[in-house]
Amino acid sequence: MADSGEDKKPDVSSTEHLNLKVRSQDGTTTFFKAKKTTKFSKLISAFCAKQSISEAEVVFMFDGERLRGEQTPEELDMQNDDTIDAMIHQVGG
Amino acid sequence: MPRTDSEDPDSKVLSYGDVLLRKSDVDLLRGPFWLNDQIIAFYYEYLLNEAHKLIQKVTLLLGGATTFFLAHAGSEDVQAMARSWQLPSRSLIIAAINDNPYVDEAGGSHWSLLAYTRQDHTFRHYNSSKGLNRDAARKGADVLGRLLVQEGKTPAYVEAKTPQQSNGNDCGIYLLAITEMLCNERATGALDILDMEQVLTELLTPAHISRLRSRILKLITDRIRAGNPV
Repeated sequence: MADSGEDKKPDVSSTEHLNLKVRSQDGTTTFFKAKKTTKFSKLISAFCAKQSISEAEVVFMFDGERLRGEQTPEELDMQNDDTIDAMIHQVGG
Repeated sequence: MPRTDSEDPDSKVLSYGDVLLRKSDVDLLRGPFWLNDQIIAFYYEYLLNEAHKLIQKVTLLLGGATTFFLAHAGSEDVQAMARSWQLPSRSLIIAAINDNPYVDEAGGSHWSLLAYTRQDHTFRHYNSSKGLNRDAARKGADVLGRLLVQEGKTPAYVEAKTPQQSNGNDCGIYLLAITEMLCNERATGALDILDMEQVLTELLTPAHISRLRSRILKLITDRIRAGNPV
């Protein structure tokens, strides 16, 4: 399976890469460059590491659906500059 | 990825539809604990993908994360998100309402349910702890209502008569129980929304709530045992 660092190979055709944004609920946006075939689990880990949060604390949503780690941008037909929302969990009693 | 049987609360235990449950999520069902949006998302997936497949096309269940996003997003984002929902074909729309006012931290203290029925173009707020969540439910109805305008009119809004929880930890289960009862009614054909109050008064007892908590836990543990790859 194709797998490599997100932004290391400028020679690869740009159509294989997407610029994606992950937006937190506080309005901050984190930018990622990812291959269309890279699983989201990688982007999720990177995002959580940057934000110093646990992966268990957030859910990622795109177009009203939850993202799953094993999915790829290609499967969801993502386009350049698409935005993923990172939602922190809520509780109640 | 190999299944992890560790005691780590963050360990992934079940991937179900779009929901990934961790040990800490499932543990919320093992005692009198508050529910999080993960458990709600699981049960909503279960209701429409297993229990009530037949009403999948006419029913939309919005979990806590989605509703929260709606309440705090700009109108452009809301429109974009709603595009995939096929709202005109939905006769019943249910949204899990949480009162978390903070966008940048986990939180909230209460769950309630906002239901839209197309037949009378009305939102009903089913709330097991009257008085709480009123602002959040109103806000949800405002945002969703703008997407549901019919003949120039936004939907009406009423507080529905709802059995009250007798403790400080079961609101999430009430939310799920009412969601299920609305889906049951919808599935039998005629959703008589006024009868719903009667149905809820009769069926939504503390015993029912406690059974539902155990039943959801069993639904999850059965699926974990069946070996869903995580």
